[in-house]
Amino acid sequence: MALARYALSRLALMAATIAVLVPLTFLLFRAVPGDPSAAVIGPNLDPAVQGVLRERYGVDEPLAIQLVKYLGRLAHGDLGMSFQYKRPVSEILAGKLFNTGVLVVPAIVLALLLGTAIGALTAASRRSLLDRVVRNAAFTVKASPIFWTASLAVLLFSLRLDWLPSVGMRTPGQGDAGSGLAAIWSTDFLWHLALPLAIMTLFFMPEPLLTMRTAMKENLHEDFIELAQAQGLRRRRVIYWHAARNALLPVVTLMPALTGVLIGGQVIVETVFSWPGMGREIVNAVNTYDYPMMQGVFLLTGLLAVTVNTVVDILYAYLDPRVRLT
Amino acid sequence: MTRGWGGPSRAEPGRGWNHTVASQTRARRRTDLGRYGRAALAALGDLWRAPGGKAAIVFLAGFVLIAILAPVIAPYGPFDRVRGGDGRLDRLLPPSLEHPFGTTNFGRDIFSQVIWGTRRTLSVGAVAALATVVIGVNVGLISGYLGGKVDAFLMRVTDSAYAIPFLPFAIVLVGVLGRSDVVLVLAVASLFWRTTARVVRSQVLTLKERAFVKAAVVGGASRWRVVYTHLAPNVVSLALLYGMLLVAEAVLAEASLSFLGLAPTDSVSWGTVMFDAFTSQEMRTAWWWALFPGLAIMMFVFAISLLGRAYDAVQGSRRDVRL
Amino acid sequence: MTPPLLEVRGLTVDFETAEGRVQALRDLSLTIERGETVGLIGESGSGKSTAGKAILRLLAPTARMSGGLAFQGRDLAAVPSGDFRKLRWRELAFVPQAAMNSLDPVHRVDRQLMEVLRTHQPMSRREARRRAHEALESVGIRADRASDYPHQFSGGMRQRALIAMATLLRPALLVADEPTTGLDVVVQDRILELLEKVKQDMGLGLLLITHDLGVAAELCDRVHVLRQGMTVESGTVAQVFGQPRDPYTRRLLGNAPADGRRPEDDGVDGESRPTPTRQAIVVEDVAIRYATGRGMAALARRHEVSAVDGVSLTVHEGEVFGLAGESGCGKSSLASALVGLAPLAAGSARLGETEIGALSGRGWRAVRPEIQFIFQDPFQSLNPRFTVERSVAEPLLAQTRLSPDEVREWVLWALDAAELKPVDRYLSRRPHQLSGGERQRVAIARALVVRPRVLLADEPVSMLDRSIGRDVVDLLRRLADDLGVAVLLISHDLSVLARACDRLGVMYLGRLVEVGPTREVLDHPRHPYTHALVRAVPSEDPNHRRPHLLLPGELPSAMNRPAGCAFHPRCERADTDDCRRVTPDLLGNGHRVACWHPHDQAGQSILPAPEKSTTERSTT
Repeated sequence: MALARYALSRLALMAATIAVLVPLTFLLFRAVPGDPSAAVIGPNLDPAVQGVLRERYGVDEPLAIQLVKYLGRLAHGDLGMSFQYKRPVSEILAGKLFNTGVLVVPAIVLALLLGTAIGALTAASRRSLLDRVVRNAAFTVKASPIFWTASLAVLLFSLRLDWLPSVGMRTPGQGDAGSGLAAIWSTDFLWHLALPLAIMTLFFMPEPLLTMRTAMKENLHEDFIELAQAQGLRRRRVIYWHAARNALLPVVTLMPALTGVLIGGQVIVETVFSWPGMGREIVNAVNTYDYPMMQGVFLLTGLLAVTVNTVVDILYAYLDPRVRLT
Repeated sequence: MTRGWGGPSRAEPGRGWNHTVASQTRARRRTDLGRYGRAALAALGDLWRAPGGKAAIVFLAGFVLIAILAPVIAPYGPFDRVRGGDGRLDRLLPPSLEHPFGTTNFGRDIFSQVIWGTRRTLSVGAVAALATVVIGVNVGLISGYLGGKVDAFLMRVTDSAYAIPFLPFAIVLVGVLGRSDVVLVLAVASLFWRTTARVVRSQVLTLKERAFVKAAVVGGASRWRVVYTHLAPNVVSLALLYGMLLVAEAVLAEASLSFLGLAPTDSVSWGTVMFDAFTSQEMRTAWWWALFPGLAIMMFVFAISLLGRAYDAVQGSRRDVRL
Repeated sequence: MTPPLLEVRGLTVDFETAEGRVQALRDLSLTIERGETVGLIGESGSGKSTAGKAILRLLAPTARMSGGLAFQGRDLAAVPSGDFRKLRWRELAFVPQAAMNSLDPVHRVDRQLMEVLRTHQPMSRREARRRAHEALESVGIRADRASDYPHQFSGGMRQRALIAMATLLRPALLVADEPTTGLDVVVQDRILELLEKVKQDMGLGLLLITHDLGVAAELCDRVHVLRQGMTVESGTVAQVFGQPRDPYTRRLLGNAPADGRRPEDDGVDGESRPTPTRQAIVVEDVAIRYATGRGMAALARRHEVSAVDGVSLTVHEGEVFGLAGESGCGKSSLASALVGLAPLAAGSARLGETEIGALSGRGWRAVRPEIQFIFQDPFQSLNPRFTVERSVAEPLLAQTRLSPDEVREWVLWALDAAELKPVDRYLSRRPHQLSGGERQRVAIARALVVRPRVLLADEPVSMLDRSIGRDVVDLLRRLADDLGVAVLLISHDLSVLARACDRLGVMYLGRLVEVGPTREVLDHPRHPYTHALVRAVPSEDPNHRRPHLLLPGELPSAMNRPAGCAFHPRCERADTDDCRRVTPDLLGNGHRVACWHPHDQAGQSILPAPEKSTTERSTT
């Protein structure tokens, strides 16, 4: 009951954040020095043609009216026409979002599971050497730029050893193995997925791992752990039922901050592996001055981040009974 | 037995003061600055004594020294094309004594490029971090101490900043404003203040409940005096730490943008050297090209994370929030 | 002959620290038999908790232990850890301090009891749940609360749950480490009664670790007095409390005016002290409300909680007025509001001529010097980055244009008035270089430096060791006598209030229920609540066995305050409709009470004859 009420209040807060985010996005693209439509409407064009184009892109009206119209279109899921593809942005992004999802969702799940598990194990381990090695490895991964790690991995596994493909989601010409979910299960796809997925997982893992480890170490000094020990509970039980369960809380808190890291990593990995997802699309859009596209990707990632944050807040309340009541 | 107040007789404070509420004098503001400085030095001293702290500080100081002494250390200029004894360009030479990090396809000495690159990488990182910390600390202090509507508003803005993923934002910013280091600093500063703000705010919320802050209020301090005389010195060490972590973050951001070809290429940084390597189509053979600048980034960021760990050891604290 | 239940011989514990080895406990020897309670008494740092942990094998890995521990004749040191785990809880159980942290915050309370049961005895979940609920029921926690999370429990309930947990497997030995610290006396009373009961029911041996002499005197058969790790005295309660041989024990006992009674040698009860005339602060019909909930919910009026309601009181210059009551009764809220840290919802408060209820932020700053505050926690009330001199000077720097020399002169004067001597030794120190008592004196100096009319002290000694706290309270008394400052002293500890106050007010759930001269209120309490409060204070006289009062029920939260007299659900005298419907007013002359059925004014003293305090209070 309290949880439901809490969830509702979080959803309201999410709406408020979106209400700030959307106009902010719009202004970022419109209130920049110079006219963003200048990319398409070259200054050398005939003034009359310029006028027509301005009207077509709706940039001749006052900012406020533009914003209202933009919000109206947004309400219908209309993100505008891509300059580059001459097709609706929403249509293009739907496909790209799927491609991104099949890479990022397994990566985050794997990273969280492996990260918290390894973090818990090393924190509880009495072998300090293992602990130190794992910790420094995590910090090393954290310190390396992901494109560098990814490129070196491509260099090694694809170019030198020729074990795994270095680009794309599937081998061209190998027959389009259906579409949608069916395509995912082809071995060709999985073969292509292996290296980017491994890199992404490796990249996300240090944060949950280190957070879990620290939280566990701290929890092991809590009074309730001491009491559990005095009660004769088995060590494993003390560690997992009490310490690890409590240590999950800070890991969950970490998630919102991780979303941004995640999206950034995705952009890089997609670029390195020529993965046809949203991340590559935004770089592409910048290079071709495709403003509606940029705006669409940007807005979508923002909404994604806000949603994740809200889900995480609710998850947190579920895991920590103290949050619900206050 | 005499009742009533004793004390020095010349002045008559107490009940007679009500009408002499004084504004801060300049001299007093100076002592506040001194207090921040002393707090920062004390924090550095703590880090120096913490396990791993010495190594991290020496290491980072080494990087700074390399940046300053680049012209002395680097055997060649960043864009010099090196010719061998026979007058031909030294193209794509693997690491050797003469070229410790090898050469590029244009015959540039990668070692010299990395040394020169330290300058730009570090200065962009430092400027970005400074700007970010100044914004973050002030937002955190004001939001935390004033509370109420101001806090609600500032926290909503902070949440929105969290909702904007950095890399797409930076890419778009470069897209609309063009490629320059200023844009990079702007991108970092306009988003990453969020973490510092949150951390400082939560620190302020704890401090605010501490009796010494309430005592300052009861002692008649104004809001600004409470914030900048009583609270701020107590968050200096935190600000210092986040400043350091932000330098690391900015260096990584610069490298990422360079890799995507979105950084200016008129001078070298660790990132641009790697960008050249990736775009050269020579990676298959010239493995050393991207390796060494990448290692430089890794070592630099790792040293800063060592500093973060030293800080945690000193404070016995845990930092959940990431940038 | 059967060996004793527990025998400790020459127990010594060292800790490895960065500064070298620190001896926490030296050569402790004691025995406990079944059905016996042995007390370990000492102030902070005496090593009493270390001893408890050493017996339970809970010391940190940095600890080094030597000496003998024998449980039922079995050498505990020789028991391997696997077997020791089986001894734990079946034979050796532990009641930790009532802190929030002793129960796992993310698991329901009954689940935590079930976990213990199922670890030691194979049984079905249902069976475990039944037994857990049974155990909770036996300590007065009803089945409908058993599945709550720990944070939903009050401090007293948590402590009772911990006792239920400790006695689940009917252990032979129970170690209780400060089981009532941090609890209000009425709640404490119930815990003490419960401990006594489980001890008798189960015939277990009880090792009671406490700093509270009254608690020890009531519960223990024999006590050991520890000081800095060393046993300074041991013997039966009658011996140690009756004829203490060691000077330290004598000092500890002397510190404690028996039974919340102020020593009679000071003649402050209105005879020799000129009756104060000028009113320093007048509080009339004040109400304080807080918003609860977050976000939008906080804006709605129905989410307001009334912390203080209809409180009126006056403190005169040179007078010490005491405010007593359990935590949550609103005494601290009242204090915060009087210094402008919280707004008044209704009523008025006059400071001299100024009405402070309606002041704006700027207006407040102008009257700041008139009223100053002394906080509870001496470890948090000083800015860690300021020297003593700067801390004390700060109010002057913030508010006046005095020259540096003048500021220094006043700082020296204030430190002198707070009896930090020699003054120059303290000037350049920082808070971490001071002891708790010294910090509290610096805080007092900081309050005095602006020469206030009123000094508010909110639990100023509750975090200090008793002997040090006594000195601080005496200092406040002297400040009122010498400087004519009015002191409003807030404390949950009646003995503290008895020591210094001229008059005393007792609060219950946001209202004053009784006000009068300190002696009268404590000796002849008229309100049934005050009656309970006074009688719940453990007696340090081992010959005086006080019946446990057992005030029924829980303290209601301010959110759902009972109608009528708020005390009526727990009051044995409440029988009429008036009690349930109409809030009684504070009536009477001098000694006033808000009750429909007060005890007789001339009622018999319920406390034993006063003893002469062993220490002379310095007269001024």
